[in-house]
Amino acid sequence: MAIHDLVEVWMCRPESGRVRGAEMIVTQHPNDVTQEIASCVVLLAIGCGYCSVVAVAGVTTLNPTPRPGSTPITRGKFMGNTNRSMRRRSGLKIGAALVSIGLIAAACSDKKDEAVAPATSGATAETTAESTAPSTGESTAETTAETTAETTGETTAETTAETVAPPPDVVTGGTLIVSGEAEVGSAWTPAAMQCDSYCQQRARSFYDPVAALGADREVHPYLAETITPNDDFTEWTIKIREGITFHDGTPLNAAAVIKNLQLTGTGLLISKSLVDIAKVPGPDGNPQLKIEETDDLTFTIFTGKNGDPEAPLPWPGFDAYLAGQWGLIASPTWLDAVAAGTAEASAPIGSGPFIVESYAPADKLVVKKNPDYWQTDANGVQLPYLDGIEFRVIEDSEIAADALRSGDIDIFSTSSAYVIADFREDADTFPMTEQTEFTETNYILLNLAAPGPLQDARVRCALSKAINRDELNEAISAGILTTANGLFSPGQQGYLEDNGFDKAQDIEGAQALIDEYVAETGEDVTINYGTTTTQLNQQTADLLQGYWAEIGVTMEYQQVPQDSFISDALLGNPNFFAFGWRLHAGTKIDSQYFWWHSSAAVNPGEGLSLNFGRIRDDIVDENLEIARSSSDPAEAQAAAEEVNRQMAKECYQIPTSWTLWGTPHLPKLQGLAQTILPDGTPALDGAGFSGQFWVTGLWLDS
Amino acid sequence: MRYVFQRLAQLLIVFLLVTFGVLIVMRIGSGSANELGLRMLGGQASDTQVAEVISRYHLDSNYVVQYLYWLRDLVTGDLGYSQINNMDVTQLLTPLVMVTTLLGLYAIIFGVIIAVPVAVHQAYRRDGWFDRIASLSTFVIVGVPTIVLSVLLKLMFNTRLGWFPAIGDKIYPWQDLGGHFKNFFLPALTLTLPIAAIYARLLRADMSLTLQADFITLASAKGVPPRQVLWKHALRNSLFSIVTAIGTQLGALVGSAIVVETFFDLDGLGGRLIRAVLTRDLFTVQSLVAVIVLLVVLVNFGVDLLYAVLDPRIRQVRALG
Repeated sequence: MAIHDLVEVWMCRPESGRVRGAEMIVTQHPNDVTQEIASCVVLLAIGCGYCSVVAVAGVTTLNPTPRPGSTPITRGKFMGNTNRSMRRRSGLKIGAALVSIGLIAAACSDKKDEAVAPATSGATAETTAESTAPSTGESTAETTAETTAETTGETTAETTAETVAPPPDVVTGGTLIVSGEAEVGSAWTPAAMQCDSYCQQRARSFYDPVAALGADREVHPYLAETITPNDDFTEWTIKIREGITFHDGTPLNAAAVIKNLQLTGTGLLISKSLVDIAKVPGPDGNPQLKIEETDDLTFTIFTGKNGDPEAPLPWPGFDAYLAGQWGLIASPTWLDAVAAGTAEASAPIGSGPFIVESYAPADKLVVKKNPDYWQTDANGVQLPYLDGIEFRVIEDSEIAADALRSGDIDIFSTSSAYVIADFREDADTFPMTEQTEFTETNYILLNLAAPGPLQDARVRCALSKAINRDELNEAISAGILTTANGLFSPGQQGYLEDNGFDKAQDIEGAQALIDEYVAETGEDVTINYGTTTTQLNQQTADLLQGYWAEIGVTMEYQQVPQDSFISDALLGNPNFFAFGWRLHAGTKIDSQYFWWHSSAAVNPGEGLSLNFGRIRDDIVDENLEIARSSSDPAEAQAAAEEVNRQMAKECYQIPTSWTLWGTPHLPKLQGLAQTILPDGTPALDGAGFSGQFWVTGLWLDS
Repeated sequence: MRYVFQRLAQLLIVFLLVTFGVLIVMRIGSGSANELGLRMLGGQASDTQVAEVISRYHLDSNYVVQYLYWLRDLVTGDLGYSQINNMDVTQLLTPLVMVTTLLGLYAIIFGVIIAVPVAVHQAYRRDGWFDRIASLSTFVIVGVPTIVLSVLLKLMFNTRLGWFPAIGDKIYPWQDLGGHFKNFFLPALTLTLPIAAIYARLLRADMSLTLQADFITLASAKGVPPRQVLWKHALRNSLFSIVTAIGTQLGALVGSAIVVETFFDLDGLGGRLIRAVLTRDLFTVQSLVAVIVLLVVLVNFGVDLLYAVLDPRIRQVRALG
């Protein structure tokens, strides 16, 4: 072990990316000489203090003070000999001094941090704060969005749109060990599970979805054999594949799927994203989705504006919702048993390639191969290839990185910029796929319904202009993320390189806006900023506080517990003013409908509002509706771009960066990004959630 | 016997006070019963579900009433239901208790096994080279924060040597002894070293003083072999320091276990407690704290009893009341 490594460990340099422990030095301004000097002083104090204590201890050990009244120390078997203590004392002091000097020299030396490879997107622009959405890993808001809508991620691993036959040398067997960063809440019924990326990852090992996204970014049937809209996209007829059974032997048929769609689609979590599905009174009098069963395997879903069955809504992108959480199908027998209390919700039963063997929350989910799975590969080999998968939860991505390097896990996905940067340098040893498109946006979520300065666009835009996104990127994200100009990441419908939003810091412009607001209202601007209790988020908040202080805005910072972060935003609680947030992955703008449409905006205290920011904008509404209902891709694209421009103009939210996901793995893992959908189209890894990958086609090269 | 009952009563009071305190701390700032119920259900639930939770756990009652109901359920083995994890807290707790208990036991047992011979030899050859090296080493180890020690040990044994895994797996001795050793070695070593260092320093100091006592001189003069003088006479009279340390260090051990369990991804009481606090999983927090407090008070009770075993004079004093 090199001394330098040891010192690095001791001094806990956060930027090394390899060291855990207390991040003693917050390098908010890493290039700031003052900060470097301050670091040296602190380390000097530590080194001196430490070595002084060592020296004193050494002296004390060498020259112990006899107890009062005890016999004088003499040479003997049970007594110490201190005749040499004087010489040893001096030697120890010299040694302590040398160690101190060594520590100081090492600490204050110009350590060359490992070079960070450029982002694969080619952008070297600012990274932004890793403002994660709430909850243990990602917010239920984020999960809700990405459970119902299509979320695709195009990995840098090459996938083609043509049918790809599996390699002839595929090896079956073996157990894959996967790690993820967060645990699901309320596992595992599709209606109740608060699903983030890793939850989706795991759920798709034992559940099959009705549909899935292909590499061509189109929706393809999965459990469904066909998904057919009528001419005006107001009715969608789904025919389920024949001959499929759930793990408990229950047959998969139209009734089973309808039961799932009703339960999940009317549940608290998902229902608000399906407002434009027609509703009719159910047997119990409560509204249920208008779904009509045609025969044993076929049923039709009807759209209706705001649920009105008399107002069918053309909805060309509807089928994408069947590729999300809503489309995950569990055994109806099991669902009934869970409702009756005779089965555990934590022991799910689906029809997927794997069967759940055991589940320990925040620890491990173990699944084993479903020997009767209904899919085979193009060569007729029974899927899945693996004998089993062990899904572990390792919340700290650096610990997960260590585990991968040690071979304790085989693969994991992370959005931690530092970890990704590290693995870029180890690409030869640990191949890594990266998702740079359709990913989430890190941004500051503003509560537009909160009385105060945020209701004025000038204040919002000033706050945005004051941020130095380059610096934020360097400080928080190893400089590898891309600055965001809006909530539309590259590759998403509506993305614009120039949407009218200037990402560069403009203190003068920001100050002018604030001055104008203050002159008009006579009120100083105070912002209450909330974020979850992580070190990075805290650092982000500190930086933001500094930027806004430059334009005369006072920021009060609060750390919000993860469990209340989402509910505060959902309910519009008084402490929700401006939150550090991450959301809006996906390809089509339709998946963002309920996040931004005014119909989903509920005033604080009046209920749950999926439109967290309580955005109420006629232009945004109008164009969201056009994008939802238009069958003309160009028209839908234009509408999405208009939403982008309007949101940028009004500064409804303050974007900082787009998330980057990396999936490093051991070289023995094969088949990543090569899973084939039942109709022969390659699946699109990242579909469903950023960082997600299909497990059906994975295999281990022994 | 009277002493035993007195101690048990005292420890019970400690247990009640601590668990009640936890309940209050977790409730304060949680908002109204409705808000608390909603949080317990993960932030999204219908009014009916919230009302059900409030009714079941008496969240709308005062703290004392809530605590008494919780205590009643605890006694009957119903530790509540974790909505976040969708399972009974009892079911959640069992593997956690196993992991932390095993780690704690290893730390204490191996800490004693390491500390005693080192300290005895240090005291026997006081101011010799072994004494100096051991003193310096124990001092360094005690001064190193647990997280730093974790990093160092992982760096050495996992990253550099590849002997042990970076993350632990819950393999128990009765399932696979080799696998258990492999997965628990580093976390246990991380906890053991500081404990051993503390015990060694205490015992060394105590032994050094004991060895100056007149009865030791007499024993030597009588021709009792040095080994017997050290291990039978001196050590026995010096063990109080270690025994006391076992009791007093247990709380610190739990704190260190939190760090170690998190760092080595070995899900135990400590790591889960942190998670439960952050997610406001009330019943999990209360139950975990109850278990930890119970462990600590029981161990301290055992320590008190051990005093009587080690020193007959204490037995007499206690017998006399």
